[in-house]
Amino acid sequence: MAELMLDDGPSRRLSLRDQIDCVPVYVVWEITLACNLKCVHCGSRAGHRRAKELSTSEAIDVVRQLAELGTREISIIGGEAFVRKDWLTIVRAIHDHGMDCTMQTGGYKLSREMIESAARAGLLGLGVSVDGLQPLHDRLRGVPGSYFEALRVLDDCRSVGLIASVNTQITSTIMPQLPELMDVIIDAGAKYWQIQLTVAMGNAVDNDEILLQPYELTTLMPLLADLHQKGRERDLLLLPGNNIGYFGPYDVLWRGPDRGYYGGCPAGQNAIGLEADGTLKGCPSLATERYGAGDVRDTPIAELWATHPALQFNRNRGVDDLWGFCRTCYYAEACRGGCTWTADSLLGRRGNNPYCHHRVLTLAERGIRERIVKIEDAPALPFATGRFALVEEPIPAADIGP
Amino acid sequence: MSGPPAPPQGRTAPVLVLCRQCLRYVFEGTATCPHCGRDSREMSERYRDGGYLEIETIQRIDRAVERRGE
Repeated sequence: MAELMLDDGPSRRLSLRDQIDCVPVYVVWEITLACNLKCVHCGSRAGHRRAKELSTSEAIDVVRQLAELGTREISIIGGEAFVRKDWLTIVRAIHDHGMDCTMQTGGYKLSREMIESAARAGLLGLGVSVDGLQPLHDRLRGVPGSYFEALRVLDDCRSVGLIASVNTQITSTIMPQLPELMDVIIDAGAKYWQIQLTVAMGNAVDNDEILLQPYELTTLMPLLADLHQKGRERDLLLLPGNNIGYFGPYDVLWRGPDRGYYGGCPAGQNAIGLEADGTLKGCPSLATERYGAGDVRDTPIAELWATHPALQFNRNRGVDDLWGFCRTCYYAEACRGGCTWTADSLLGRRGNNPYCHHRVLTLAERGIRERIVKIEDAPALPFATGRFALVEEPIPAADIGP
Repeated sequence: MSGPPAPPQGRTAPVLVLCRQCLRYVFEGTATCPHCGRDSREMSERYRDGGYLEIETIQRIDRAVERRGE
């Protein structure tokens, strides 16, 4: 599964009207589940194509329907999107319907010629996954050589004139590597760097030792703030993904005030996810079992978008379905538990998200930290979730600062 | 001919502003900042010299324009 591109592109800025009218401004579309990497953190367990992926003509009809609904940007992902033979046809259709088209990729075997063809077809930007320095990246991505391929793709984008961003998964051992990784991606030509926590879904549940513990945000967030400031001096903009949050002391750096504060999860209100077999969701990463809203071949997207309960949960959501710490949080009304995907995948229910800097700092003032422990594995299906317990414990004396 | 049904109206995010003392977000109209305990409306040097006042002004204008267009 690829990561979202930039939360910050101009086409994705939400107006008041967008929010009230529930315009699906931004769509992330898995055009195939086939993939040439074997990522140990892949939430969709990508590898083989789905049994009934949309045909070319069905895909083009999806593009038409989304344009009619007011979508402004479609980001194509996989699996690995370019493994699908008609991917350039889909890129061109999106562009020809007046929408921005971006793509997420691992970059493995994406040649310069393919990048040039994509740019000619109307691709606006490419997000490349780089999940650490070479040994860590290649181990996480499951294919030796994938690290250097990713860097080569960044360099090719620069020479072709395509906007390149880097997406990095925050796993348990990456933090010491982030400063050097920033140097590497700047040298390779990246202008944007989106950071996202690896979420407990699919392969990441099988390999749960790669998951960051919530209390480690006390180390991660100051590090990201430092990198954000150093990156700006070198023409690299570090931006947080939807699950990096929320309302901590560094939010003013990367979420405003010039770009706006975190306004809650946009899934199903201003965002759509689409699986390769036509299953519509409010966000591409949400568990299909709980959030799948039906097949776009059977029902028009406009009808699903307007009426299906699986897409409605965020639209008039207050604080009633929040629980745990999030229920009584000062920011509850604005944040509503942050990233639905992160909380729901971890605890089987949205509305209580331990991966929150404000929460971690508040608990630390009370001498408490939270740790996750796996109690149930995830089935061998795409977007499958397991179950984790949240353990509250005293902060060990050795970890309390002077 | 009737078109597809319109989706029900969505919720808008509540308005947050920066505490002019500690630069953490607080709900609009908050007097005492829950984070630093100071008057969140009183201008600090850090706020003024950091260019936050100009940004705040632009955001207020943007919001007013959007609300007129509702």
